[in-house]
Amino acid sequence: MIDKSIQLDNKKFTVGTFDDSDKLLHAVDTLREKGVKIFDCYTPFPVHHLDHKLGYQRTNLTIAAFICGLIGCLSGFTLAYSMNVIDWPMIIGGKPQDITLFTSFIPVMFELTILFTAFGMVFLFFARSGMVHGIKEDLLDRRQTNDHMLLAIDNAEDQTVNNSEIQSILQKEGAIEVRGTVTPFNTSHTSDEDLENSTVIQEEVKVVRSSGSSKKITLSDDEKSSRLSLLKSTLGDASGKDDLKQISGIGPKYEETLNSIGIFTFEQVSKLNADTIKAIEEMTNYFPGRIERDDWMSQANKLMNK
Amino acid sequence: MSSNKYWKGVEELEQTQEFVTSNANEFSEGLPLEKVFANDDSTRANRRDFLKYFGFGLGAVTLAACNKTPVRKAIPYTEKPDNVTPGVPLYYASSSVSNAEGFPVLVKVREGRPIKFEPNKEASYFGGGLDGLGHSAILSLYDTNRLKGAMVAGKRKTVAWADFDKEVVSALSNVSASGKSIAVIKSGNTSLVTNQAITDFGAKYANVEVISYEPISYSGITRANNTAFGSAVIPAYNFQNADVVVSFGADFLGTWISPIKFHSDYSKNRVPKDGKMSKHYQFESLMSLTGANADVRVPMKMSNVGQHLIALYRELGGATAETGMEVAGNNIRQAAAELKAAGSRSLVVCGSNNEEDQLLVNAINVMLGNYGTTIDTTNYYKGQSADEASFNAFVESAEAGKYGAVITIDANPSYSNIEAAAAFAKIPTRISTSITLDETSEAATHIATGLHPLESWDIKEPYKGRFVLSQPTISPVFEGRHSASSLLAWSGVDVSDKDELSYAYAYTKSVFENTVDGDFNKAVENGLVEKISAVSVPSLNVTTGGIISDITSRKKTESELILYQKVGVRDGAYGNTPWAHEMPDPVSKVTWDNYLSVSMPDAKSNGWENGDVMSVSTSTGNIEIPVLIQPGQTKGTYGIALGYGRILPENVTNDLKDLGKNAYPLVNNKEGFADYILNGVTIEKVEGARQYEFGITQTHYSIEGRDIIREASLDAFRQDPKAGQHVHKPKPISLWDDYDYSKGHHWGMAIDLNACTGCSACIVSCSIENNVPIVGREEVRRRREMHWLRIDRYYSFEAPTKQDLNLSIVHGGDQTVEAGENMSKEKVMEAYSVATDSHDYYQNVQVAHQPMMCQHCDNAPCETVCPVLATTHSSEGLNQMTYNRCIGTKYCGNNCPYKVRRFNWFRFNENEKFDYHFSNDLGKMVINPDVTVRSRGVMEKCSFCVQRIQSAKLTAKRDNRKMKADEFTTACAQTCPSNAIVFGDLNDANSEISKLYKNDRSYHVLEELGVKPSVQYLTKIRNKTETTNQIAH
Amino acid sequence: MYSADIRKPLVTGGKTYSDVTEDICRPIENKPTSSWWMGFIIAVILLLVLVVTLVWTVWEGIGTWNVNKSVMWGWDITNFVFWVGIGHAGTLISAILLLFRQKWRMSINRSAEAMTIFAVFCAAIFPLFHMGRVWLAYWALPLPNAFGSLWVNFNSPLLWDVFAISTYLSVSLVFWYLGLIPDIATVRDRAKTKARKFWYGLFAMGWNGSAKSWGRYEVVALILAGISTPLVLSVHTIVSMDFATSVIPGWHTTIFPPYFVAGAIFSGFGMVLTLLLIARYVMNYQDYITTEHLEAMTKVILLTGSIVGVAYITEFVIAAYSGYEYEQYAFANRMFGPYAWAYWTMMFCNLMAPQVFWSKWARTTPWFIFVISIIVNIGMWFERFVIIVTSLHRDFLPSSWVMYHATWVEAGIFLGTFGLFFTCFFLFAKFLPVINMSEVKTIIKDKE
Repeated sequence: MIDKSIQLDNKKFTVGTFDDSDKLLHAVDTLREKGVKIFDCYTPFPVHHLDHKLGYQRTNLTIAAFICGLIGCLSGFTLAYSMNVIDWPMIIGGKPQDITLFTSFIPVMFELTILFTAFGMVFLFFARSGMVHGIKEDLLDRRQTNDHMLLAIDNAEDQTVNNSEIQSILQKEGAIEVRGTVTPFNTSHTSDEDLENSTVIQEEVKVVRSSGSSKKITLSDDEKSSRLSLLKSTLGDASGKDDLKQISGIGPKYEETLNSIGIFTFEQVSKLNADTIKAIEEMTNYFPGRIERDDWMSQANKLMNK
Repeated sequence: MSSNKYWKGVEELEQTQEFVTSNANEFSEGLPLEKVFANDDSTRANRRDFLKYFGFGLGAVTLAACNKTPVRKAIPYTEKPDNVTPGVPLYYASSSVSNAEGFPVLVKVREGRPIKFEPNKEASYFGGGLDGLGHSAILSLYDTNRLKGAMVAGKRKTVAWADFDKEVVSALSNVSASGKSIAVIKSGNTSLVTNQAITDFGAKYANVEVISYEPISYSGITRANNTAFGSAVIPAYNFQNADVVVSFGADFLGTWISPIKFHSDYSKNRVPKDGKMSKHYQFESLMSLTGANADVRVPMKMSNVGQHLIALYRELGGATAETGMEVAGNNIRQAAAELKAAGSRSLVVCGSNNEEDQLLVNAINVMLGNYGTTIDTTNYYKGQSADEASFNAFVESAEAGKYGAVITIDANPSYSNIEAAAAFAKIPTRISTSITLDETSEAATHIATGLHPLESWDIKEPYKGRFVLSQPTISPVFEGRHSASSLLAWSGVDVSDKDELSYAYAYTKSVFENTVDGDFNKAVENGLVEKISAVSVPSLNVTTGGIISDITSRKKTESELILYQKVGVRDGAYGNTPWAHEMPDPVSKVTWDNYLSVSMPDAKSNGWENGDVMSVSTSTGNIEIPVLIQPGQTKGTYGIALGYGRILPENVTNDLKDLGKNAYPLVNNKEGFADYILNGVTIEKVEGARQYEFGITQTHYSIEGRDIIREASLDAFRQDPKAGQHVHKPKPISLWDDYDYSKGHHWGMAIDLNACTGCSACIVSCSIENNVPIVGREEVRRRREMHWLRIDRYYSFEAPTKQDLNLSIVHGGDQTVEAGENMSKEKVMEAYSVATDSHDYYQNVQVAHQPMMCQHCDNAPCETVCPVLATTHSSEGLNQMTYNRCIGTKYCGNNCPYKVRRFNWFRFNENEKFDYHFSNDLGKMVINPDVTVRSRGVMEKCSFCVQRIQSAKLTAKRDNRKMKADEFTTACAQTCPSNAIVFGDLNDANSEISKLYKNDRSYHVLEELGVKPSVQYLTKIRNKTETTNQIAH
Repeated sequence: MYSADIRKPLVTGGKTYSDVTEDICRPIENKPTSSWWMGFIIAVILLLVLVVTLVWTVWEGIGTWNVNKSVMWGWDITNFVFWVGIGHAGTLISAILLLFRQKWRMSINRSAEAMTIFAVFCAAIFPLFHMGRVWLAYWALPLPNAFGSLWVNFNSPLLWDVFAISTYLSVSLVFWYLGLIPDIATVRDRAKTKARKFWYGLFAMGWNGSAKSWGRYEVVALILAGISTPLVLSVHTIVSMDFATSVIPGWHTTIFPPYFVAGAIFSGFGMVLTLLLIARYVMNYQDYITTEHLEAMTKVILLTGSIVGVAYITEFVIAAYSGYEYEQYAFANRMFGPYAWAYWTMMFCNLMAPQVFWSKWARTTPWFIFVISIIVNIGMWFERFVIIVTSLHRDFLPSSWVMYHATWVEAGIFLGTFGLFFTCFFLFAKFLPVINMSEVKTIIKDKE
């Protein structure tokens, strides 16, 4: 029942990360032309034609739905007929106690048709996709359900071209990240720190910044530094350096990065605003939105006033 | 709450050390919980503890859950009484409770509990029916307010009868010794036993005066008969012999003298037979039940009744001068012509309590030759026999201190006569034999608590020569004693039981042997012994000239107040029987209240609305009471019902406590007899008083021209027996073959709208038979009365004549009336009233009554919609309600076109809010064990008394025979005094119902819906010459 | 890639995928705002009103309401039909518009579906608690009886209701949940606390956005949409049969099924608009719920309002034409009888008021739309009240004619259902993404 081909198990994958669905589709085409067997793609939203391009057959859930509906319809009739005609015939409003009552059964038959179709199909879908409550998800990247589209190739699979060539094709096709050996993980059972440190940061990441391909509105370097200059000049420097690691969300590595762009003190952090955050995120390549979400500003404020 | 401190023992009072410690731990031994949960390490719960607690908790919960349904045990008789078979009712012949004159009835007794009155059909003279109050009076047996035994003033605690008797005897002896008189005030009941006991008592003590007292006086008739014929009696009226009945304000179907008998007699001539039926003229001021049934009803002021009588007398040929009266000349002339034609087969009656009026009536009846045919003064009526003059004399002398003691027997004068109440206080020893704490016993010094009629032996004589016996149907519920026994005990007789039979039995038997004579046992079994004499015709020895001049010199007044009785409550003696109060008044449909009834023209011209509180002032007093507008009432007349405003014991807390206003103080006793018509009344709206809301079961007056009640004039009916039935309606077609009911039984009912007077006895009979809950005024206000059977009352107008319409065009100026063919009669009348700026036409309404219960439709719309099959059809054509299965969606109730389904909005039984005597421990004794007491949240409705059907089927099966036609009937049909309801098996060709179904007059209500009701109605035929008087369709 | 220039962008503000995620997850991941708390507390207080009034009803009996011997259904069934009607718009927005590939539905369908479910919860309270013996409500299910054969009545529209409403509720729940799974996965993958990881992980069912799953997912969603459409039509048809199959004049009308369905869409869109406009204002979703959306919805209101209006008029014409006095009276009584005020309120709110949407200004001015949406909600409540109460209070026999006014208990229950509804809605807004992120992401590019 369960479609085994979608299970990631403990395989190792080469993963190309895209931020644009057209590029992903093009990369799929290119790789398939080269005869590369793609394991699967992971997207935060349904990308049209992706399943065709990957060569997946149309699902036959529709036939299952029809059968479920038929069963529902028949059970509606059986239920009503056996109860009101066979087992418990009553004189109700002078109506005959036979098959002519059929007209009264229609609403129930209809509703059960729908009910059986809906539930039958959804359960079949869950079963086929191996979806059960509480099952551990297999992820290759935390952002695959957010804004990044992943193209995964099973490293164990025999391919017509070797791994490094696949990686370079991916780079050429506009992947914003290409990683060589990615193991599936799940967020539910891994701590945040571990994830950041092990999976993403320490992964051998080849970042290819293809200017213009990104949909992001990027700031110019001048703009960035000008946005930060105020922060730097007035509020502190390396001399009064605070332990920024105390802020939740800042690890030792990121502290260094922050220091490198001139942010040393809680005071500086506490004065961050939307503009400066944007600049910092872009300069340090940090998770967009995290700073605000974790509310570094008030964290820093609290630490400052300790 | 009492602030007294109660203590369990001296230890507690003194608070000794041991007591304090043991009391802190009331179960001094304690539960061995420590042992169960004992543990090595008691400071901390461990895993095994958890299991223990858990296990204990689970076990405890399970055990607690097991306790859900208490086991109720049926205890068998250790020694089964003879004749009692559990589940089989016994019927005892007895006499009615509410009708003190002693109407023969049967008492249905289940396992020693009297549960219902049923008419004694063998007593055909009395009509074989019952009224609503008569039915509901059974609850007086199980009244929680009943006194528990003999009581002496001051202490509301019972004392031993021996001590009590000693005290009474010494008090009475003192009175005798002092030379003062002893007054014995008895009610107008006809008990031979009590009368004999009073005679025996009088023989013992000196200066005993016996006075009979009734709250309602008919002395006008007795005085007139005394003057005219030399016999002060109320004659027996035989309406069945009258082809023409003319009544001047006598509500003989509702409250006048003996309405049940009159009902049956009257209705015998009301169903057209061979194109003939009796004709009934009613001249009256308030709309009475009788007026509602009249063929010709003429609004009249009761203060003008004398003028009308003179006019009739003159028209009949009595030599009189012209009176110059402007009233109802045509109708009087017409009535006179018809009376003349009918000759001795006619009857004129009058509700006035004035001797002169009644003398004229006597003269008219003599002139018509009615004595001996419709009026019988030989075997006269003995009930209601109050001696007003001597009672008034008693009151006067009591004030003067003539009496040393007064004994009231079954009478309650303190309630209905305020002068009597004041006079009583002047008498030092006041002995009452009441069974409840009524106004008189409340003020008594000694209460010799009597027995309920159902607990006692008695012989009554409602009509001369007709003896009705009653026997105990239950052993005394409380420690009362027969009032006759009490009187005898005070005369020095030993009244203790002999041979396990009460003294009252022996005494009754001896009275029987002395006065009636014959086989006592046989008499008790039949309940009735008739020894009547041949009718003799009295001769009139009075001249009318003086009477007429007296009447013509009467002062005319603009307004008059009429104190009348309501059908349900009558004189108020049984003022706390909730069934009677919840029975809607047949005319006004108001429950639980009396009111100032006013005419529509008066209400409109004064701007009064229903519920406005009025201050009514007469020469006799003042009363504040809400208004009810009553169609049909004569302009300038006002009515207030007597019998309300009873003062009940303090432990009565529900609506019974607050029952209308007592209008008895307004009765005019000034001229030595009670006058219920008060001239010159002033009525003012009480400013700032809150609008009073009546509990009223029907608020819409008009039938809206719908084909619900079909009627036709007698003329039209003679020409075409299907008159009134020619309504163009499509024949309903069915999608499928109908169920075949031709096998077995097929129950059906027919209701003759001609016979039905709307008296509402069936409603109460049905309620008692089927344990229908009493819901109280507030719930009736919210339109939630539970009656399975209701009587719909519709008013219609006589169509305006062409002349009237022309008149309106003249008067109306620009508001011309277009009385097109399509205009409904109500519309025409309304336009007419606008144009003429008057509502006088509201005085001339026609009334139609229609009993409405579950129609047991073969294609019942309620059945299809029930999601759980709680209501289905039986193969015998009954629409059945399975209470147990009902989940209360109320869909069936909505989908019922007749709106006869009733929902249990609350838990009416076992709910203090609805404790109308019938849901407390004592009241529950009256519950019919054959019928389920419905729980809250289920629908209920008329079942065609399915319990009676089943019991009749079982009886037939036990006897191994087929059921006989009309072997049994439903509670409503059984009690109907006019035989309007017929129930039976449609598949039995011999049954009355199958014959009625073939009657040309029969039709179904709403037959166009195709629901195929099993209840048929028979077209109402009004004995009128015009054909215009049928309701427009 | 397809892009229609003649249309205005459905998502404005130059959003990126991550902006979408960020914007939509923000209310879930941040501490609730003070306005959320205020709204939530008010909703919970109203919910308590519901609890109190229902407990009182069950404790004392249906007698605490003012329904009587003739009007046995009053506010209870009025409210039932009202809530069911409101629920329908949710399903229609998701299902029918999905079938018609109307992309403007995407930012609103999630909350519309949630509204459906919560509205059906509210609706279900009424048929349950209007029963005299609510504790035996399960008897309406075709369950075997301990005492032998005793089954339900398949002729009864109320039984059809049981099947229809329960099917509707469960299918809507499934449909809604299915749509939520990818978004729950998104929230899961952004989760920081253990609890969030656990709960969102539990309900995400291991979703990882694999292309194969998406393929199946889209087919399932489409079929669910396909069957939801006849389902939603059938549900209100069956609700209308509660009345249409009866014999009561004013109820016994064959026009009811289409007229009820149109009314349901009408009232549902009214409610969706009310809620959306509040949400749009409170949560700053102007970029996602644009005037384009609002305009499209007002057009639906205009259409369905007119259909309903035509149905009202048709009823009268048929009643007049039928020559059946009871039917004629029932309608005359609606117009001129004691409940004429309710009737004319209905006519104004449902027939007249929506006609302003012929004007472009009216269709694009949010505050004005809000006012009209409230009027529509009121009008549709009155429609049910008029149908139920005016038909029952004066039917065949004038002797049984009564008036009916609700008690505080009935009013409390009605008010309380709003508490239930908004409590659910506030919790939903706090814990689940109110806009379907994965769907919105597919239309971001359409603007370019």
